[in-house]
Amino acid sequence: MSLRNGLRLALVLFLLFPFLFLVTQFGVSEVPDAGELLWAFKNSLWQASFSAVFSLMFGFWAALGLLSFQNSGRVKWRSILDILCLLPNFLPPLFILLSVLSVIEPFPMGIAGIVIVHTVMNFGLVAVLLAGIIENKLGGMIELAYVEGATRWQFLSKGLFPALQKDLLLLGLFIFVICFGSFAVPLIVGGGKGTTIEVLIYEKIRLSSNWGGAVLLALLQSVFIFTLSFVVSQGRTASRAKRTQMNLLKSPSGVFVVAAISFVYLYGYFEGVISGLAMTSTFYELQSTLIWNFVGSVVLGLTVGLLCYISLLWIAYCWPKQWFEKFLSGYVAPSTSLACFSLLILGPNEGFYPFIKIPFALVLLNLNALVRMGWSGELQALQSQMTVAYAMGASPAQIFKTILFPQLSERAGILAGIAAIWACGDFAVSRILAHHDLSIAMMTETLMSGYRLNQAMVLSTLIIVAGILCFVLCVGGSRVLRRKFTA
Amino acid sequence: MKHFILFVAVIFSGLFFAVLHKTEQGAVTNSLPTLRVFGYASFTGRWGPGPLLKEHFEKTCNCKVEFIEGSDSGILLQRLKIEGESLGADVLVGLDQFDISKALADHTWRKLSLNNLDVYDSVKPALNNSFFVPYDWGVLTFVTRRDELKKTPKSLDDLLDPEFAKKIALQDPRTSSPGMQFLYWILRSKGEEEGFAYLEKLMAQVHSFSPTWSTAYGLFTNKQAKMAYSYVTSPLYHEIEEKKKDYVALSFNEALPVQFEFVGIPDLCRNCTLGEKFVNLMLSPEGQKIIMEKNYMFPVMKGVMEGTAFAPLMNVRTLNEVEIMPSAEVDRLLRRWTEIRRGELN
Amino acid sequence: MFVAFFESVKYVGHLLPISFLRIFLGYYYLESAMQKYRGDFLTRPRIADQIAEWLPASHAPNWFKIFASSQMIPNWQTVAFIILGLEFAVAISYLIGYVVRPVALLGVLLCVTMLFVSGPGSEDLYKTFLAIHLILAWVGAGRCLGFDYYFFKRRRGLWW
Repeated sequence: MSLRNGLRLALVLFLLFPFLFLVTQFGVSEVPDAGELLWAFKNSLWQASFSAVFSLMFGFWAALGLLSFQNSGRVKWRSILDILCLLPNFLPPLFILLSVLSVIEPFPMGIAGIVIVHTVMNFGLVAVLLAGIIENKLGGMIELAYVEGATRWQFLSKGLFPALQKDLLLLGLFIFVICFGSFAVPLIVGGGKGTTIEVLIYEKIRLSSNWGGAVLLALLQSVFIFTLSFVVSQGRTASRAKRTQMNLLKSPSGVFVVAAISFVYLYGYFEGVISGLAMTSTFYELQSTLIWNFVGSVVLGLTVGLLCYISLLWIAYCWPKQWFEKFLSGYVAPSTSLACFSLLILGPNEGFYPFIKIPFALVLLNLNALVRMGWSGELQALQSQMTVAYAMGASPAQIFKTILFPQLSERAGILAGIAAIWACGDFAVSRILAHHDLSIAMMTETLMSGYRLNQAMVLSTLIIVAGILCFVLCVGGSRVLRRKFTA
Repeated sequence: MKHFILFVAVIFSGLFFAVLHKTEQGAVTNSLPTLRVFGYASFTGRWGPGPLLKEHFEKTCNCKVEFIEGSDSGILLQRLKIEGESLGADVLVGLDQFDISKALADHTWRKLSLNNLDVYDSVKPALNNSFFVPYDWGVLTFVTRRDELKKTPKSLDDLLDPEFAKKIALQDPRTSSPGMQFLYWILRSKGEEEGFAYLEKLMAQVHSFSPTWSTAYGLFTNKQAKMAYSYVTSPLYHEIEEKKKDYVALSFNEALPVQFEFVGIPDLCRNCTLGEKFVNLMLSPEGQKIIMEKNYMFPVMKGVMEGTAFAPLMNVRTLNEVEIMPSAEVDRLLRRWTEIRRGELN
Repeated sequence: MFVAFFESVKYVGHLLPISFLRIFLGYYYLESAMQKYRGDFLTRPRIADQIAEWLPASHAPNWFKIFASSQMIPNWQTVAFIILGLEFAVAISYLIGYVVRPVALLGVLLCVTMLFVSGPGSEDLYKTFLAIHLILAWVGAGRCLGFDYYFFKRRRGLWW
């Protein structure tokens, strides 16, 4: 077996580890109740489909707003809008939920409610990713259409949508997968439609200790997404255009969309933070703990960032192989509790082992999202260069060192930074794998579980600080590495 | 400058990990024995009773106390089952009456000597098993804000009034212990068939079924819901900590359900005698006072609550016996509950 | 880099005696840090007790006394960690002669703080150390028998 095949196999085994491990540990003996399963599946499917569609719609609109800030003088505004768009992704879902519920009144419970909350949570991510795709792939075409005198509608219907059809589908699938595995939001605002596959998995573990059943459900969920991913193939490759004129597409109303949706999730949040500020004196005696947990958050975020950076480059090194590509585009991480418990059983859980296991669990759970967020697209875009180099006799190591790494390091850094942000906001994984509060997010959750919601909101601002710090360090680090190794 | 910052960062990170490793290793290799208490986060966390109990215990035990956190009782039991001896839990804190039968079925526990505990009458039924002892209890009811409701519900049937439509924050019994208490309350007050029929009607009144108590209560304190299912002692928290007097616990014609929190010692404990001593501390007047004040729950032992703001709150009519339901029965009830949720229109 | 390490003796040999002083001080700090690390410096509030005992009699300015009693005593764990970290940083930096100049300034900071919170018994010791740190920073003691020489040779500048 060649080195690359070995590395491919190792990565696949790492990603499949929770399934394989739990199946061998517990076995699958019981077939779940078909009626219950179908009902939960139907709920998951509907809510995830609608959420994906609406996130795409609003995300697209917001992306047009982001494209309005392209000139160098307005880059600062673009960064602010990007942060506003990405913020809902690293605040605890409960805060977003409370805020949305306090702005939209009366709030429609049921599928509509789930879709609203999911849209608020995910539109920004779609917007940022889509703006990037449009800039990278259609820059030249937009300029040409503008010069040729096409109207915006003409360009959208005859240029943009046909060209980005596959990218949009891929992005839709990405949001679909996130929403399909959502747990708390459907349960709270879903009314009668709140039971999803994820809830069933949790119920099987918590109440019935039926691990076999839980693994089976997770497997069924993965198989479904895997099948679905075959329908969606990769979009056209990026041309990596120079900075281009976006007049034809940019739309100030998109900025309004970002502002409006940000208001929806920030209003209640800041209200909570302000009322929590009155009780900040309670943190006074905890300064030491706060510092430690802040350091814990940053260490956790950076470790996850570093591991994701390595994993993404690992994928790049192994890239052109069809089965490997198909596997990565179809793979869905197992439910959080399943992944965590499989790591819990494996080896000791004391000392600094949580600091090793938590990042591994987070990489396991987030890597597929990072791949879908554009990593596979980046690799596709470079495939022709790889083919030429290979034909000219370059070795895989040479191709990686001279073609892939210089072009991909920064993008890997951005994705690793996003994973680091998620890691800073995580408490679900850490709560299972750690013995005590290690990070600000865990401390926030502890506060929430004992009446102190507003203080938790105040504390969560530190999650944002830690997240931004980790993101900046990951992006900066990746740039430094690129410079060092390509110099 | 870069070199300097990197150098200092490397030294401090190295020390951070070394200290982390040393703390845990030290716990094992140190000559002092370590008592490992396994509990849920709000018990062991900074704001819970855990740290004060630890401080008290360490003064006299010539040992160290270490807390291991889990998110809730269900997850605690799963971890105990999966990690077994390697977890090294000497004491398990935070099970309620619906967890007991599962805990007994999945693990073996040490018998506790519980003679002559001077407990409140309402606590006595909870002492009927020799493996677990309750260390606090709470009465569950609806909590609302003063003067916010035009009508105050006096009975379960009053909750069906259109005035309360979509205004009640409840917990999902599949994921939350108070949610299960609510289901039990309805079924005990009305009988199973009538109870489920009532729940069907109640669905229209419910604002949301949250996965945890904290989420439901958060919805209520953020004014999304007019009332939430919580503890009669909840308003006391707002009064003491936030100096807000506008929260009130409602009294009902039906007897209210009681949630007991139990502590037990798993058979695979390493420092079992210390574990027993810790349980004794939890039941001592000082321990009970700490638990009452930090957990905002009633103490089980007499003589602690008297003269405090907690005492008047205890005078509510509660369900008399404590039923330890078999897991299969809990599963069956939850299945029926899920069926009702499935039929819900929205 | 290793060649530069030894080559430095040839080119900046006049700094050799001071390099031995640096290495000795590094060794002293390493011993002290290891002793603290192995003992209960991080787990028991020794530093808080020390501050509480000596601060009233200290010559420290008022603002420092206020800061020490309001921030350092309650957060003794963090303070102990920072002190230990700084001792390790000084020790390793002095032993291998890497980033000696800025680390010596950290050493000055550490000495001043310890001077303020320690009893009269160790006052003279800290004053002497303070002077040595300042001298090491002044002459750039890492440039002889140290890795700083390697960077000094290539980049020059104030940091080496």
